[in-house]
Amino acid sequence: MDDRQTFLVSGMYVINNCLVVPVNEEVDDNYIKGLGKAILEQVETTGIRGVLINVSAIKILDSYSFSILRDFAKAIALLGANSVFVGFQPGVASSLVDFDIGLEGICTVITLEDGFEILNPPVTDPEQSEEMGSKTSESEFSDPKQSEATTDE
Amino acid sequence: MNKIVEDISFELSQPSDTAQVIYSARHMLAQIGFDEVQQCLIATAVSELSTNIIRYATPGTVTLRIIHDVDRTGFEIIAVDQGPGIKNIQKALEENYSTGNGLGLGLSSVKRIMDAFEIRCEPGQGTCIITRKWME
Repeated sequence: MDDRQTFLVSGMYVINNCLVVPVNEEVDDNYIKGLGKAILEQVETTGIRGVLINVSAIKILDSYSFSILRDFAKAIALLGANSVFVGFQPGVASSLVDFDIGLEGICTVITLEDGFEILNPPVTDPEQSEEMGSKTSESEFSDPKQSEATTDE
Repeated sequence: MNKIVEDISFELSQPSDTAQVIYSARHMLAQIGFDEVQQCLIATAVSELSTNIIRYATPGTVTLRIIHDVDRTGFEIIAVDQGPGIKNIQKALEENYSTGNGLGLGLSSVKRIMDAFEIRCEPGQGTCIITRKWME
């Protein structure tokens, strides 16, 4: 099954059940607000549980734009998905620290691979989910130990 | 009185205008001889001042200069607008991003990372910010 779907909007694509969002080098207010909206729409429509926001192209990031990116993570979380920022550049990281901006609440990695590993999202294939669902309900009423094992998976 | 070696001004009226200011700033900073980390830091200061104009006081002008003073070279940013001004400059300069409160102007951070920082403003008559960083 080809799980790579490309969305024309903002160049986002789904791979390994994660939404990968490339962010442009130049981040102005109009762009970033539009991007945030597009991400949330995709998360809601596709039911994807992991979002990788690729910021490796950004060389200069002002504090307000960073706070918008940080807010993306919060909004994505409200939709029940996890997010990871990929590839903050050293200059950006150093400036954000020097600008004394609150950096809590965001998850960052260096490569997309690391990001996929962290997100490790559950399968969202409807057929598979149905099977798993019925498996769980059968075992619930038969053997409590068996149902524990299923949920651990 | 500093000697102006190079001087370039940008009119800012829409978000996409900030990109060329930042690009030019990085180019000038590299010319002066600032290292990559310093270039990013000072260009971020340029970005803060430019985006403030776009968000709160458009249109405005940002001027970037390479300046000389006796035996040192530096980078000067002059951000001018005809916007509403800042009612409480003291508060704007004291704010701390870590608390999550404040005006969101980044001015206290710009002031901290630059060597010199002046702000002149009359409420309702615009703001003028001049800031400098000298090459060590």
